[in-house]
Amino acid sequence: MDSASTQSAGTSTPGVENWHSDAERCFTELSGLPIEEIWQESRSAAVDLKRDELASALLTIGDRYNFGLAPDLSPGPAQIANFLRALRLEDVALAQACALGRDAAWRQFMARFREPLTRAAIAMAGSVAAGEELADSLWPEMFGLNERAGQRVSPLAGYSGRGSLLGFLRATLAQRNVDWHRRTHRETELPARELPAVPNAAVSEEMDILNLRTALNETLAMLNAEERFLLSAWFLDQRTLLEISRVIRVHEATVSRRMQRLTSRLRQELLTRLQANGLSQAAAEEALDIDPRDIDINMRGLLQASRREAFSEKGTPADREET
Amino acid sequence: MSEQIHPGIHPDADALAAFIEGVLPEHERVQCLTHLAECAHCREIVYLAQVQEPFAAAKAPVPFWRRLFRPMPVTAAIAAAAVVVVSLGLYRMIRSAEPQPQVIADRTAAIEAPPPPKTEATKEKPHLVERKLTPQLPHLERVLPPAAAVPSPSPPQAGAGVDAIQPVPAAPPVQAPDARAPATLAVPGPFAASRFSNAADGAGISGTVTDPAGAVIPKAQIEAKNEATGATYTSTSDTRGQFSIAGLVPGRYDLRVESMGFASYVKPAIDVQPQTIAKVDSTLQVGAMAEAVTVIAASPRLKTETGAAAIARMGPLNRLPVSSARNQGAQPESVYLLPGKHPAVTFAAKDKLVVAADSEGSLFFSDNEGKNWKRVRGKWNGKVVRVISPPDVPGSRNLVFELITDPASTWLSANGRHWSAAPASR
Repeated sequence: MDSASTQSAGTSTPGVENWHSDAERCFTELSGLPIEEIWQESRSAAVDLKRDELASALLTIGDRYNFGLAPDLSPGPAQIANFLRALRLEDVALAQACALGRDAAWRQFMARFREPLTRAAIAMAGSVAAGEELADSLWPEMFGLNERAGQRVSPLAGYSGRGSLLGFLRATLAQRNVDWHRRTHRETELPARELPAVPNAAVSEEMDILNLRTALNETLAMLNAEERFLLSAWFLDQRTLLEISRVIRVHEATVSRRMQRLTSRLRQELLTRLQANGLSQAAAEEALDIDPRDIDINMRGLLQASRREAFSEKGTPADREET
Repeated sequence: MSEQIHPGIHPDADALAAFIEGVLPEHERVQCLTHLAECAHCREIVYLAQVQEPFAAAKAPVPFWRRLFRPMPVTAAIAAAAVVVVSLGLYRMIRSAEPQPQVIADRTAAIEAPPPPKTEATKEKPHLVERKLTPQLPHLERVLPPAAAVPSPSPPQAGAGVDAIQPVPAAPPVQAPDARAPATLAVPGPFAASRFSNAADGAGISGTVTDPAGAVIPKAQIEAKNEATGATYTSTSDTRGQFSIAGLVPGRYDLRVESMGFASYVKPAIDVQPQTIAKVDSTLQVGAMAEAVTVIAASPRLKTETGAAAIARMGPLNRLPVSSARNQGAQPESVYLLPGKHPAVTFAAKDKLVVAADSEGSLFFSDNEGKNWKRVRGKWNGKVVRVISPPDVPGSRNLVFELITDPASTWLSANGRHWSAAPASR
């Protein structure tokens, strides 16, 4: 590692050792990568970003994500080098230089992203005027007009380089759009969801519903993250197979198969649980045939409740799945 | 209710983007999915943020043999018509080719000299043919590829002792490229001509016209001028800013690209080789004000166009002129006479449909490029201040026109006649 650092020092400014800042030395020692090479690969010179700035930015990113490992593992030099190599260095350099307010970087940034982002914004907002306004509001925000403790804070500093910069900007746009939509449209959407139960539900069914609710609770709790996501996307958001398939990056047909398998498994699980609660098979089948509108309220309630439960136990299921 | 917006720690834009692109490490991906299963807010963001994904993914190429079996009535009809025309032309050429040598022989003989007595002709003919060939050679060398341009001095020598008429049929292939008519009329003509035009068909210039921000410029005028012959070929860029000029005679060309509101772009001495397409991508600079005025003297609308572009250059935080939409609106012939007798202040056109609003804020509609107008009475309150024809945007179905009224509201229409309020007007 030492040889690497002296070599990189030798290639750029021969004989001078002290231009190495702490960040650069730390970077080279941790990863074994010559900062000079990384610096050139990221084309930082074009956006006016110095070596030590790039090095400290990369180290910060690596530190934030534990170099791509789970939080309880400690990364070795090979893992660190791999993680840093996999980053989109050019995008990181551009974002960091923009966050530092470099002119050259901003020129490049606007030239690259103005047109595609405006298009994306128009597509998201559904009209040209709204889209342009959405996109226009993004530039000042990216520049960091919000000051925190006298310091300009640009969200671009939070870009990690794992995905593309365009994707990051698009996600930010989508966040702003949804934020705005929620702020202004909340009142109109909620009432439609609360459908009243069918009034003439028989008394005996009350018990069934209670049974069913507990069974549902238990069944849903045992699902893993992806299955829960599938259910909410399909039943709650009413997304199409295509949309879901793009999010989890598998083919539509696979989504369809998984959904089928999942629902039949859910049904099976529910039946077993109901029978375990003392219902006969016929009664259990009957319980499952309860008018869905009766259960609807319960499902909504369950989801609201499961949201909190999931938050409290958010750490545990994830850990359980990993093992 | 507020927990709907901030129920806990949401993944930030960076994590969501990485999730969408599938580059998160497994443990973070599971965390993200767990959160998404519970949070409708973030699910919405994820769906929105990947709207353009299908456009990034290239379509799998269709095997060529599948394309052969596709129904394509229009192309097939055009191809059939082309075959008929070409075969008719060939047939005519071959029919007319036979009497032609005499015509040429007569004409050349008439031009060259008064017909000498037969005995002298046998001696003088070589000189005569020499003299006739020399002035044409420079043209030949410029126009033809070198291999074809080699003149054949042998026929005169070989035919030195022959009748006056005979050297002439040997001469036409040499004459051919300069004077096009004889080339196609002479006996070997059709073959020589077809070989020649094949070489020309392969040669061309193509490229993309963009503005300094990288946005494409549709409807830019492209002119290629052959340096040697002065022949010009013109074309216009399509909606994606692309142009191509095919069928050029190989040689050196000057390329000139012009579009309203931009300084013209000139690229001299492009070397066009036979059977190759020279690729020239041109970036137009935003025009200087003086230039813009001379270009657009006919249409006052354009001043605002150029003004907007010039302002856009001044600072990155200004509004973006969405080039395709607004440049389309900036055609010089688009000063419309509306029935309301008030001047049109804003309009949008798509194909033959035109929607325009006058200075009083009334909306008019025309389905024949502005010849006849009908007034459109919408449900909006107040005046119409801006009509836009948005660029083709993924996700917006049937959206052709959009208008904005004075007490701000946005309305959308697919046909210009029937308008509905925009779902999420800001």
